[in-house]
Amino acid sequence: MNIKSALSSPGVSKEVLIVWIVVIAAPFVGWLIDPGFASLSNFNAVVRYLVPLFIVSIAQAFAIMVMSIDLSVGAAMSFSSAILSYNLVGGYIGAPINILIIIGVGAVIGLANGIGIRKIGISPFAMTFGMLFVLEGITLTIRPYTGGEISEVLVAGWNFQPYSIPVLALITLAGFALVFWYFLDRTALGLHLLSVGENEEVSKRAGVDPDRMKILAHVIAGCLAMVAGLFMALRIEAGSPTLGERYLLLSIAAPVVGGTALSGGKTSSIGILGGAAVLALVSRILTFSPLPEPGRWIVRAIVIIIMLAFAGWFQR
Amino acid sequence: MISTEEFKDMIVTRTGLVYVSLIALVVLSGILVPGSVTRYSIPVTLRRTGILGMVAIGQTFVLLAGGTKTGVGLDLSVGALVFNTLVIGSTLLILGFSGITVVVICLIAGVAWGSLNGFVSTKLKVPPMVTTWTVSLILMGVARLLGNARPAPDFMRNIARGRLALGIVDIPYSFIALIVVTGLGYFLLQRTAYGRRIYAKSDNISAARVAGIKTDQLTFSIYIISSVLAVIAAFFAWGNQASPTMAFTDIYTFPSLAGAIIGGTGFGTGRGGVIGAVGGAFIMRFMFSILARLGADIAQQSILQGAILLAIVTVYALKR
Repeated sequence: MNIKSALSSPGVSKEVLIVWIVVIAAPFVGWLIDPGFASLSNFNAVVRYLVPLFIVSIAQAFAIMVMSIDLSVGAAMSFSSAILSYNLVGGYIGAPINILIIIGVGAVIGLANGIGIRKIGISPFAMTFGMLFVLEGITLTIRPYTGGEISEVLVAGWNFQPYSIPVLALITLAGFALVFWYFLDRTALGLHLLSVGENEEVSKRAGVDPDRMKILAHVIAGCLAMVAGLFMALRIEAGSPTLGERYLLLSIAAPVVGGTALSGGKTSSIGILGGAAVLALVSRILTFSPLPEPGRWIVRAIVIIIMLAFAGWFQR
Repeated sequence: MISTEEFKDMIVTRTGLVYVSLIALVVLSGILVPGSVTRYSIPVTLRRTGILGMVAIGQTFVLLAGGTKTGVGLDLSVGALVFNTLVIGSTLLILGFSGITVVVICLIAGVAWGSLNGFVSTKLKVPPMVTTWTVSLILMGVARLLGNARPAPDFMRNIARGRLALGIVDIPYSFIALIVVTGLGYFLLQRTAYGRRIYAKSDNISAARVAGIKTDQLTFSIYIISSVLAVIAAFFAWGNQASPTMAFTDIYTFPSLAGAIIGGTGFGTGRGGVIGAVGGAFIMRFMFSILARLGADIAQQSILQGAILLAIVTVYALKR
């Protein structure tokens, strides 16, 4: 496999490199379809769409890297937006309090998932699938239709866009990418999580408690999913009971496209960012295409399959 | 008569537990919710159970052995396939094909869609969950592009709505069809070499491969089974609709998954089977009809669905 070896370079894995080549090439495709694609306002739209997608993908990656899965992340996003849409505490003090509330709720959800999976022994799919329904039901109870108001301070911060540059969104993307990279590559905890996903038995003998690590991974996944819900809510400036559902499978697809193995133990911050960016760019490009809506679904699905097939080819 | 010991052994199996829960649910709601268990309401529940049960049996096959090296198996495309079959069938009717031809073409299409799931999962190494989700996007896209919804052919409507009068209570044909499918599924899983291979692969994919089982071929066939069952379920669902529209809510994908899990099938654990799945599907349908009768909204339905699912998988986990 000459292409494979040619693409391998130290430091960056092949999958990640390929994904980023596609990320860089995609805007040109968009520009060919419609020159309007190469505009700052379009860049703005892509970045703002990317933020919740990237964060929920990291959330999912935490579950995936310890060989688990979290099917409740999409429902958690909707739940988060529903809580935020009541703007429980207003004003400048309210903004951080609102964020702390959703992170706390996310920790409880993640803890419940983690305990169900590791202490009771329910399969991750069954546990988080049940959680999905419970969260969906609670969300529909408190916010049956899209509406409500998000903290005006947070919305103002999000909408601060001099020259159509989405400052907060870019800072958020860079911040999450850096912190997640640092966590995985430079901290003992990150290494422990990856080692548990790679081989539970071996890491146990090395003194890492797999139960604690896996529960912790689910708690972090729960918190991050709620934070992703915050940015989804900021995009639509309201709470939505159903919008989060759309992110569930994207949250699994983005890490896999970016070289994360569903069998655990392998993930990277830059890969997930690339994977999420590809998915965001593909759906954005398609909105510029003359295809009817159902045609776009089909093309998007085929592109996703091709990207995933590439990822699978490299992981062989 | 069954002795107490035998009874204990019976409910100790997962399938036994499903049916004990189901009977308890029916008896309790018969006492607590007036009008929930009558000779008029039961056939309606049975008819819907017939449709969901077939999809849940397909889902059970996928949960058992639809997994690949890249992830466990679950089929998220079944709900979209039910809708897609209705639309493709309607389009064929408009083009002037006869009812029987429509049935045959839709079944062939089902095999093709199942093959697509199998191909992408096994040959392109895409995790089955993501595969079946993307295929569901394609199915929905094709359905919306065609955009035709017509009433089903007469014979299909007659079968879908027909009942076998048994004196006390009528048994809808869709439920009889489910019993037949369950029997075939049980026979396939428990009495054939193919079934042994499914359990072997489900239990340990590497060991199955070493033992000479062609796991990729097996996975391929599993997705075809699931899709064909979804198409057959779609015929009954289509026949039940007096005036089908393009408005579609997916009432099959998640409930079939929940039914299969409640039925005791684990994700690639070598445990579970079709009889439990029918009980699981029955519990789901019965619960929905009771909640509708009680005037519960979609939010309460969702919470209860999650609670029942979590309760039963907790019992399974603790019993192990």
